[in-house]
Amino acid sequence: MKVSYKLATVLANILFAAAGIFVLRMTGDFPETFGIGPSYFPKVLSMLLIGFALYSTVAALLGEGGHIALPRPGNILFVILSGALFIFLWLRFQLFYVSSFCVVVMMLLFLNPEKSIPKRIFAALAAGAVITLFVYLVFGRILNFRF
Amino acid sequence: MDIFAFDLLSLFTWQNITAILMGVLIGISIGMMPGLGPTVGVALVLPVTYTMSTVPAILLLVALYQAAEYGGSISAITLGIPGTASAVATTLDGNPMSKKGYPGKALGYSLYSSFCGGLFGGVLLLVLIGPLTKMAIRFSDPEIFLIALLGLVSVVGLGSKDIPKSIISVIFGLLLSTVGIDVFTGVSRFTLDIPSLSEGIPFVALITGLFAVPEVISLATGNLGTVYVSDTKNLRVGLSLKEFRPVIKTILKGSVIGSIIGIIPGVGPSAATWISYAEAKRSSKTPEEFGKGAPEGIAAPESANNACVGGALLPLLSLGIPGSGTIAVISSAFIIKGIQPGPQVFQTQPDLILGIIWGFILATFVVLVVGKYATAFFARLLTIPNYVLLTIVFFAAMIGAYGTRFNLFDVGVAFTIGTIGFFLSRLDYSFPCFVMAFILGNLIEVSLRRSLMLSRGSYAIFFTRSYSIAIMVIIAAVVFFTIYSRVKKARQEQAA
Repeated sequence: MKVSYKLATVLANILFAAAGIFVLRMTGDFPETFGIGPSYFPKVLSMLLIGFALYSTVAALLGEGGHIALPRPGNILFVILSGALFIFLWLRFQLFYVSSFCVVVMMLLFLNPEKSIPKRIFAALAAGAVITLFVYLVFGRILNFRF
Repeated sequence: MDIFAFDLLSLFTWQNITAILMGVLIGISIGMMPGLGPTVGVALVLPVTYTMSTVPAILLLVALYQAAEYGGSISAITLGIPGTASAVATTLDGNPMSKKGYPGKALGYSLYSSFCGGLFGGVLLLVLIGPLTKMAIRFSDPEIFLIALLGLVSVVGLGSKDIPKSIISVIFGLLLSTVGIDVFTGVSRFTLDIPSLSEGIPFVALITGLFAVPEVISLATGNLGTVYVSDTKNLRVGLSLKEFRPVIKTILKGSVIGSIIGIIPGVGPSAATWISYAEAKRSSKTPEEFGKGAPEGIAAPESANNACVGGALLPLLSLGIPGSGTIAVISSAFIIKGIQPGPQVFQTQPDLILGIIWGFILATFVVLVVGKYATAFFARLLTIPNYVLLTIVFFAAMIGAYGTRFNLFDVGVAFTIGTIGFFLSRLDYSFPCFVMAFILGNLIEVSLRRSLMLSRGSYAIFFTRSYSIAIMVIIAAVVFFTIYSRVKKARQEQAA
């Protein structure tokens, strides 16, 4: 998949400028003391952010185009969704090891380029078990992480 | 404090030795994996340091950084695929020498050059830390603000591809650092009524997410079944004195170049390796051999990138300014321990800083020993396919983000920032600029506001003190050099 560099830059800069405007508006609620209170630094930064985002947008529009290559967009989406699912499962059921094992197996199953499905299932289950066991021993037992 | 007054025996505790050994083992492993690098390695290990004492925690990270620089050369030499960005120059001669049937010799040149470079950087750090700190201790708030600004200006000017986007990265990093309770007034800023944000954005989560998640997604866009090496025989690292002697001069030059470049914030080890390589080729009696397996072509970049590590630690330990993305991540380990790196630390806790420096020197010896006897073993790690590697890195990052505060919110922060970071990195927004700004943000804001409070709002305070003027001149010089080099490059491109 290819995305226009110019368009993506403009979109990103709009988001940065929007963040600047959001911060600028929020600083209006802060109490002021001699002009160098809690809003002073964020206010200066947000104005600079808006200014440079506009400058970068103009520079991008006037500059050469080109594309950003995003090969295997399906894999990108899968990794992002797996991450989101992992956090959701962990948050929802509070079962870290079960959530980890499920998502690890899912990732290994989907991302393994091996063609034979039984081999993929076996490899994913085995590697998933090893990784989860390793996490349990190192983080859960030795480092005493409270998952 | 006298650098030799440090009790070296106090360094040899089991915690310190274990930390150095672990740092070296992890560093070589991560450094040699194409796609991962020292910054990702340090970011992944950072949460583990939370439960450790300060000295072993920092030693773990600096040993990892030092070892990763050597580790990067293993895949560069054996496969022709550099493990780290700073090992690209090593590929030019390391891989041809390996293909000629001498991988062990090529690794030997890399290992001994890395050792000499690392040692040189460490000794330079030891020698310069005192004088630089003595000078820095006289700095007051205006100078501290300007020094931090100099660090950011250097990183933007000397280390970035797209300057406006790097400036945006810096400003955004500074802006995110303002989230949380204001230290002067106690006012809650941009917390959106989320209790987990009252202490600010969790920086361990931010760093692990920012450096690890984009790498994971990048790995998913490549060939997932890639197994880099299956034959690990013939990788016994070895070099005779007769073979080593001709490259000593090259190593010395590479070490000097690497150390100096390491000290300058923003330039980094990659640039040091190329400058060192070019200098070795220029001064060689047989420049035509470069690219075909010349030993100097391995010695020059490898000594430079390891010397760079010691050089890069100098501005952090003496001035509190991290000179690169990796050093910025290491500096956050100090912050985890409640220590703001800078001249005050050397004055109040000299044993801490000297312990880190001597430990760093010790780590270079450990890299030498481990590299000599275990390189072939490490090469087996290159048999792990990419789809397994990315799964492991992803979970390590998520656990790391969780581990500092045991808060699931931090995992969400790491994942969200990492995902956004992946897309922004494709658009040339700069991670090192962002991270440095985020880490220096509090220092910059506090020193700026204190200065302005002292001067009752007058900016003249930055122009009327001798040290301030000197720093302002350096900032102006960096800005001038940046503009000049960009204009020159644009003209050259137009002419071509």
